[in-house]
Amino acid sequence: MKKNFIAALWDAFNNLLYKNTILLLFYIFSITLLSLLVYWTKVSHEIINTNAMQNVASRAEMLEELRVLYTNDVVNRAIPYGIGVEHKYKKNEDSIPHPLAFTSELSKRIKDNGDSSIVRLFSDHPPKQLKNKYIPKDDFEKSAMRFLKRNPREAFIRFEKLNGKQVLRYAIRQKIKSKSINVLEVIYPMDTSINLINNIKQISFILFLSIGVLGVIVISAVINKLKHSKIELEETVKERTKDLERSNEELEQFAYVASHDLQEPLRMVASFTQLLQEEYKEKLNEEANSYINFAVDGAKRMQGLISDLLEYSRVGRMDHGFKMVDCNEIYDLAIRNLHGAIIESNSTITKDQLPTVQGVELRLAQLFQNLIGNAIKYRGDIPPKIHVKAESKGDSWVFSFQDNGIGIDSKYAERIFQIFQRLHARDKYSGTGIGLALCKKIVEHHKGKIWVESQEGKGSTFYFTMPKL
Amino acid sequence: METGKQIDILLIEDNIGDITLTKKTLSKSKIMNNLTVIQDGDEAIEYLSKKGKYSEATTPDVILLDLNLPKKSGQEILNEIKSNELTRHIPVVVLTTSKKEEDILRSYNLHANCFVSKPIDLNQFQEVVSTIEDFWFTIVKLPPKNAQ
Repeated sequence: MKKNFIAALWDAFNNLLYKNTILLLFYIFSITLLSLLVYWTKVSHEIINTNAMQNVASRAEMLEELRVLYTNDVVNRAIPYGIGVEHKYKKNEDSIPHPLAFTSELSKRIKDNGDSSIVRLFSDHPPKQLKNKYIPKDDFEKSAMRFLKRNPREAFIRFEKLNGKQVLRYAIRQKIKSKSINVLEVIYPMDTSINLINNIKQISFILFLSIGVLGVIVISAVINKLKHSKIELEETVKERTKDLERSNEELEQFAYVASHDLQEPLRMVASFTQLLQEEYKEKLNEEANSYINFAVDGAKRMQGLISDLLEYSRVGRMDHGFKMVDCNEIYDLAIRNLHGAIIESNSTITKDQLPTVQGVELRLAQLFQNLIGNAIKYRGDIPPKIHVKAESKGDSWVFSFQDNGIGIDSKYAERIFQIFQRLHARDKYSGTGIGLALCKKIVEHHKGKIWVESQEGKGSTFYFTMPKL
Repeated sequence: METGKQIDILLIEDNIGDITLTKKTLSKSKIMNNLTVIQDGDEAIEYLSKKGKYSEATTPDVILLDLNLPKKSGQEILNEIKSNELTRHIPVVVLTTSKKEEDILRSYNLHANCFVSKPIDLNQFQEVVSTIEDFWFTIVKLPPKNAQ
């Protein structure tokens, strides 16, 4: 069920592809391009964000390391010498900067040198005189304070909008042991990165679009070329068909003229040998008379072959205009035509209900008559019993003509359908060997197949198919 | 049957074999007949219109016409016979080897009185000629000789 659905969907797709190839390809290209673009944007966002995070982290770590170095190796060594450690160290020449002031000053200078990130310091116990400067000011800083109290070795990170600008805020706790929690925060502006992303987006869009347009153009050109070739091919086929029709007509003309003109001299041969026999019978001996018989017989057989060949050549070429044909009527017609042979052979012929098919009435009647006629002709010692039926199989009807006749050796099952092929001596069964060849040609003209299933001595069943309406 | 009356037959046929066979068959006939044979189309027309050397020709009672003729074809002759007021009353039996449906239809369309295919068997041929003879000379009432 599911498979069918998928198959149907695939068929519908193929159908659409065939009808509106370029349009469909354009849609497919656009969708692919769009998804690629979305994916690419997402990936570039991630790259930019990771990059920003690494930048800001290394910057924060560096500042913090500097502060640790300064505190341990400068401040702690200076204090025993009585050197003041002050926030407002610039006003007092005997003092050195307090680590907080040192870091502030350092970051300010870095910023003045062109870096756009901002460094903030804050503490839960800020120096009293600078309380306003070093207390956590906004939600991020307060949250960072709470987080770092619990997770002293981790970093608190948040992307947010600050003063209308997209920034990355990164906060770590001071590494020097202290009662208070001192936090270093780096605010890293993302606008450069965002601009970069936008640029990448623009460039990739243009790039993808060009590739897409180029692709569609190339494929359209290929398709147009293919369509052109198709038209050319069709024209060639049309020309060939015309040639073929012409040569068919010529062949028909040839077959007619040949058979007509061949019959004339044949008739002369046959008639005058007969006349010779008639008028000189008494003067000729038995041998001479038998020679005359051979000549007459040969001429007559030749005439039979010629007219059969003419008939064979006409099947298909002369049969246009298919009509609805009720096979029950065709069967009745064949039975009527075979009336004499049926009575003579004491045949019993039966049938099931037969379908209506599309075909040439005359030819189908010939087909039925040949098959039933053969079943009567090649009968065994018992009176013939022939049954005709049709079974539905897929989108075809399978007709079968079953008899109880002499049957056919299976190695001849193919050969019997060839023109002028005979399996029996002429004196046993007459005929030119056209019947089944004609049947085959008729069936094939009706887009069907014909075959036989038989065993010598056990009767034959001839099958043929006809497409359903 | 009107005994003693002579029937004039015109055979338009180029095949000497067929002429011989027809002659032979007719010679065995009980009916007195006078067979004239003409072997080409143009001459047939001359004969029927009594022109040139045929000014003394008699109008035939029946014409046996082959379709395959040199010069004028049988169908052209048929057309001329049937479109001429002086000859169109004469029954024309088309006697030919053709069994082609187009030939049959065209002959009848040109007002042939009947179309017969020559059988290959001598006996059958003789039978056909006798039947034609029997039908046209004894069963059928022919138009009077000098009908217009």
